[in-house]
Amino acid sequence: MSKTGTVNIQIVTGDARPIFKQIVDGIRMQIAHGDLQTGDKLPSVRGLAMQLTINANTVAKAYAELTAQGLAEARQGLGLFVAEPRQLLSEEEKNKRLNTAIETFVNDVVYLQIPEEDIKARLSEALTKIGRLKNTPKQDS
Amino acid sequence: MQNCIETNGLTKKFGKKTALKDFDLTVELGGIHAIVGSNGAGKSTLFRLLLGVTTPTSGSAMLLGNDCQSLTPDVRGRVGYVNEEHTLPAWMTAGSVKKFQQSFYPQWNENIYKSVVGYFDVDPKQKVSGLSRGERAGLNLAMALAQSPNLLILDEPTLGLDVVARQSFLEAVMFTETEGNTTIIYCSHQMEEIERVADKLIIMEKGVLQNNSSPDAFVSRISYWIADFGGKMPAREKIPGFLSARDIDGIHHVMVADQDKSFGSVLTQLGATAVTPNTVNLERAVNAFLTKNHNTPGSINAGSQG
Amino acid sequence: MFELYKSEFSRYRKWSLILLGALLGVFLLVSKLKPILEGDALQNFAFTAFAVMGGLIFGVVQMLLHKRTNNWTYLVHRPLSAHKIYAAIAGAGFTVVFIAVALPWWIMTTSLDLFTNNVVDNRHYVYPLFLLLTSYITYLIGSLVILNPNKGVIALLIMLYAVLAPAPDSTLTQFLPSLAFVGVFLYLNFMSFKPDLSTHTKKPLAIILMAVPMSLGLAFLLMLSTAVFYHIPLFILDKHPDNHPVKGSYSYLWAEVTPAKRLAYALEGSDHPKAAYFIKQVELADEGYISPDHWTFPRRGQMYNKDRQFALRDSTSNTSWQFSHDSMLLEGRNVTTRQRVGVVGMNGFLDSADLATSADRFDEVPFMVGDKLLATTKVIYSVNFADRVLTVKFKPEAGEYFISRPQPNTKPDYASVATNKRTLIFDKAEFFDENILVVPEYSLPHPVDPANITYCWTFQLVDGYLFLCHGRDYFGFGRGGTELIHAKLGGTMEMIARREYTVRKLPSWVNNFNDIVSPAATYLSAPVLRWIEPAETGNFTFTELRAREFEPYIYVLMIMFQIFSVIAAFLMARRHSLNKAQTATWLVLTAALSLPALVAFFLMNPWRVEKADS
Repeated sequence: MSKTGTVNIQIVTGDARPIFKQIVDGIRMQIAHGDLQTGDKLPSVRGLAMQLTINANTVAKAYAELTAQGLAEARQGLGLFVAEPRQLLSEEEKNKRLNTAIETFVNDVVYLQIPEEDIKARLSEALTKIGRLKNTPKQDS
Repeated sequence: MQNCIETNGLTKKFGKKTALKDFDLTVELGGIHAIVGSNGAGKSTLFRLLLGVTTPTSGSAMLLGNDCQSLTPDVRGRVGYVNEEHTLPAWMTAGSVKKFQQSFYPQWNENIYKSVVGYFDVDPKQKVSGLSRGERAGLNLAMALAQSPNLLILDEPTLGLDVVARQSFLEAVMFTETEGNTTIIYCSHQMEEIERVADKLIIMEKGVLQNNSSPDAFVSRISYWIADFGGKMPAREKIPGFLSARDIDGIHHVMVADQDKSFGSVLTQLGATAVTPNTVNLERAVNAFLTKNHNTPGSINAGSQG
Repeated sequence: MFELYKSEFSRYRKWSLILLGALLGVFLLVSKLKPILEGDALQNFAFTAFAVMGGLIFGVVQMLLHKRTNNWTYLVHRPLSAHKIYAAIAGAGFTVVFIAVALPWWIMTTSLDLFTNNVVDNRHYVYPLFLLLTSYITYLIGSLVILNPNKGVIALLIMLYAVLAPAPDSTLTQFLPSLAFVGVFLYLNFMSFKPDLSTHTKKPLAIILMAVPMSLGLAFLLMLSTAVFYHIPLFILDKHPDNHPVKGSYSYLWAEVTPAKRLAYALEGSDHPKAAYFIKQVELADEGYISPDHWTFPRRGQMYNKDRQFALRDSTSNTSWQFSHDSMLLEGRNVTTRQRVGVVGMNGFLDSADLATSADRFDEVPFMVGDKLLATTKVIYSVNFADRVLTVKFKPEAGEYFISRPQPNTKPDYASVATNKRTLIFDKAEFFDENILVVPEYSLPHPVDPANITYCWTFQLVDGYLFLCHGRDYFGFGRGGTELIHAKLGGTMEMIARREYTVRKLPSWVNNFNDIVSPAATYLSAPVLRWIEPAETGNFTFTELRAREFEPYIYVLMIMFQIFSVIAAFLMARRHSLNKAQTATWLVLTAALSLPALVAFFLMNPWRVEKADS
């Protein structure tokens, strides 16, 4: 029996990101941090819409995006569940996203004047940590 | 498929003033369609034309497939309308107004009425004139939804409501499931509300339809560029899709519509150095659209503008 | 629909009940001061004004409250047809008018009938119906003013004249016009009540029903407009004939301030040998007036407010005698105890109404004169309350009947009364004070149709009376004239002089301006008013109207205005792109009603022609 995961995200209106994007990002972050785990049931579209006071169609759109990215999978008649981590994105898309992420990251850290070695070390430490979390999923309760 | 609203070349003039010009709007069945526009953009005129209380100068308007000029009682029974004042018989009690309203609508759904009015603290024995603005709005919405309309037009329904009432109102609008599978037209000045509720965003400006798409698609039409023209910006006519520009510390911030990434090189050709693209949120995108033809002082080359 | 009616009524329920209570309070107050069913002028004016203004204001306010943009959408946008919505609103309006205007009267009248000894006839129950209809007519005009984009509908208020002014001849003429107006105005309101109020009525029938009564009002306004372009300018230039009487005109009679000079003016050109003698005599004579013109006699069942006198009062026996239209008897009450003290029938006093046979009952409603006279069109009685005797005072010959009421005159003292054939003069004291059969001292056959005589001046001479009769239409329409008659002691009559005044004080086009701008307006209104009140001879019948003769250029003007109106209406109809039926309607209307219908056209069509850009 899978538990219904608690989606703990905040919607900000007036943000440059559309609301559905904010939901996608938020849930992806929660999955990355392990707050949501593989097999957890995501709230119903209506439930999350009510929680966030937004149009249900927006939630549906976000869920569709999560499904497209392979982060969630629909089970017939049961709802949407956090999926086994797998990659649905093409190599090209992956490269593109990586480039964007690196660009942003570099932009943010370049003025900090921290030695390059330290940055690399910290980066690799963070990647290891996330990798460990993802590779040792908790048991379903 | 039949459209919920369809106008063709709809034009309305009041004397020499044109309130609505060649308005072609199609609203499909289902979903929440937000209408934004500054005051005087023609929203009220549009609603009055749709409800048949004003006659178009030319063109036509259809509501649920019926000519708005000759709406039958049956069609009127399927279209709810809530205005910003929440006009109700102020001399009656909330309970008797509900009974009164109910008598006109055989498809009245008491469960919906109860669930919506439950959001608000409406005492049925209280006279409508004695209700708070929020209670009055809630009562009005509860009755409008209980009528199970196919189309519900909400004209700035949350105007003057406090945060709590506004929240309840939005929830009731979005999460009440009616039998009529209600299409909602939601007119508001509150971008925050629009962003939360809208499936489709209809933008009107000076009586002309400017946009009818999803809010996301609309935002993606707008791009925001920061360019250094060395202090002197070229004439706005030369900038394609120009919406607005501001001069901030000698650097020009330009908002344009329907331009792709190559717009950077357009700016460069016009003499700009250091061109940076930027993102924009819904509110700014809408504002840029609504103010584009307004000759606001200092929209170009004004040192500081709020 | 019923729910909407209930809702609308509940909006005004409190106010209508307050008015109901207030009116009952007023009745209580008034009844302390005077009999409430005594129709004196002030009371009549007050309640008529309340009904008229109350209805008008309520109609305007009720619709204005609905007309505000949001309220209007709220009212109209519901699953009910516009007709049903208006029916509910107008029904609620009727209920409010009923409660606030008519119901208090019915409550009061019923209470008087049940709990007091007052004379309460069926006719007293009819009066509230009159108030109700009158008030509802103005209510309907009020709401029409708001609902119809044509603000000229306020001119429909002129129709009230036909409701308020005449003393109707029968219950039919009393209520038929009111009911017709209610019907027409209701119809116009129904036609005007549509989701978009700014659009004008397009139905030919609605156009006609609105344009025709409006045109009558507009014709009246157009007639008044002579003040603007004739009277006022001439007054300003100090050239107005009112200030500079025109010698040789009929109205110059009043420029001559002394009776002798007036007589001299009437005798101008006369070769009567005694002309100078009469002028000299009149210098010292007393001057009196007699009007032989038709007077409206009371009719059975007339509303109480048309009564000229409430009761005959006898101070010696402390009794008051009211005429009951139900029993057709004069019923007596002790003023203090309100006890019945008998009745007076055609054959004299009876102890109780129960003893009256049909022969005792009056065959027409007598009117009261002074303290003791009762008069019908056939007999004048005098009542002696002390001896309880009814005396026949005077009875004209067979085939003769009174057309005026007895008129007392002072300086010299005489009493006069006109029959359909002659004017009679009696000794005043004998006539008014003594309970005897009287014989006229003088009897003057009408020199012309009494309807043409405005009145006659009388001058007492040593050997009889001089009558100087005059009238604006003395010798026929527009032919002002005077006639001097010498009535000698002993009964002989001599016509001394007749004079027709051919010089006009005002130019004909000013005098007949209403006929010039719309000949049909007069034809539509005067005969109807005459039908309602036949004794009002100032309103010409159709035949009398046709017999009128104008100066030739007046006819030319009439035709020119008519042709101009038709052409202008045709061009305007083209400009407004009216359809064939509408255009035809307007052409017929302007052809029939001339200028007022053209003005109505401008009021009933948008001022600005709106065309969409191509």
